[in-house]
Amino acid sequence: MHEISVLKQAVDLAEQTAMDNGVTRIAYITLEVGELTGYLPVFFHKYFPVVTENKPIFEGTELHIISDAGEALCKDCEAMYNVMRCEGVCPVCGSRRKEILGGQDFLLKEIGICPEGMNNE
Amino acid sequence: MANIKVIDVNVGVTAENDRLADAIRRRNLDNHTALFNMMASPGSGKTTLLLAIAETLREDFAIGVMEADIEATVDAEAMAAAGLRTMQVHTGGECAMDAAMTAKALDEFDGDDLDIIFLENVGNLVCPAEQDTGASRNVAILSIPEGDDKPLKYPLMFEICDAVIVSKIDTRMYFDFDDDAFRERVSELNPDCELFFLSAKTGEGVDAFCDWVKAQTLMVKKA
Repeated sequence: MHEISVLKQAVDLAEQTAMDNGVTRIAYITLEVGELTGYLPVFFHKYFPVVTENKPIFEGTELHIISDAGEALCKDCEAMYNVMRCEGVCPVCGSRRKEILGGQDFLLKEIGICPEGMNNE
Repeated sequence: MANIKVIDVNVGVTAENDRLADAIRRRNLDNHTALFNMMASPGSGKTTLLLAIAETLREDFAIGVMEADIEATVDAEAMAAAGLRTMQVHTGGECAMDAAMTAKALDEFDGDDLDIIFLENVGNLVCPAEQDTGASRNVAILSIPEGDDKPLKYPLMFEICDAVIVSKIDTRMYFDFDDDAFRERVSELNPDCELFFLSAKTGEGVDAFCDWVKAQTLMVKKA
């Protein structure tokens, strides 16, 4: 259930950014979801209509999600591995000591706008 | 679709929350108030522990407690009955406090004269770790019955904490909690984290944690 509150923050950020740019209708927004955030894209898709309800700027808006892999560097043998697939344990030497290289961020990447969705055109 | 224009945003979604959280930390430094964000699962003993440490700390400090729950006021009632300045925050279904909710609660609480405010966050080991509340210090409480494997399952909670408390040590004989394994798992995630073992019921270990709270509070006051 933690997806709904961060999705609301993402939608608010997209709405504010769009308004600052004179946009009245958003065609799509793209979120980048790190694998290690624990956020499941399926729930973002499920909650998106709920979170954008009564916001005309989001009428017909598509939600695009790109995933960012949770990679780590083993501090003991320097192997690179995927944290989720290997359950946090280095597949080469079995150590749990690691430096996380990616997959912890949750970003609003871009906002797509239809030409008719611009105020100044 | 060819006509679509794109705004490249590339901003962390929590950026606004982080900005608000930093503003809360600045405000609390100005007011010489230390805000402790207490996070744990439901039933880990947050309320009982807070009552126990408030009893010790109230001799030296003015203490307030902010109770965050999805519903109900039972925790706030327990705190108020103990004579503590208390406020109940309802998160309206949200699974954790965020910086905006904390700022609003601080405004309503009118607690600028307090030395210490404990924020008893919503019982949950996942969501509270994801939202910076603007606290001066973050504390996680894990009770013996929950098991020593929790840092493996909820790594973020143990990564962001300044202190971790293992509570209910009076129930040790009934559970197989491995102190050394737990210590090692926490220190792998967060080498600088302070670890406390205590029982709010028997009082064992409570003083050591109170000393830490005192030291952290004085650090915030002097900053």
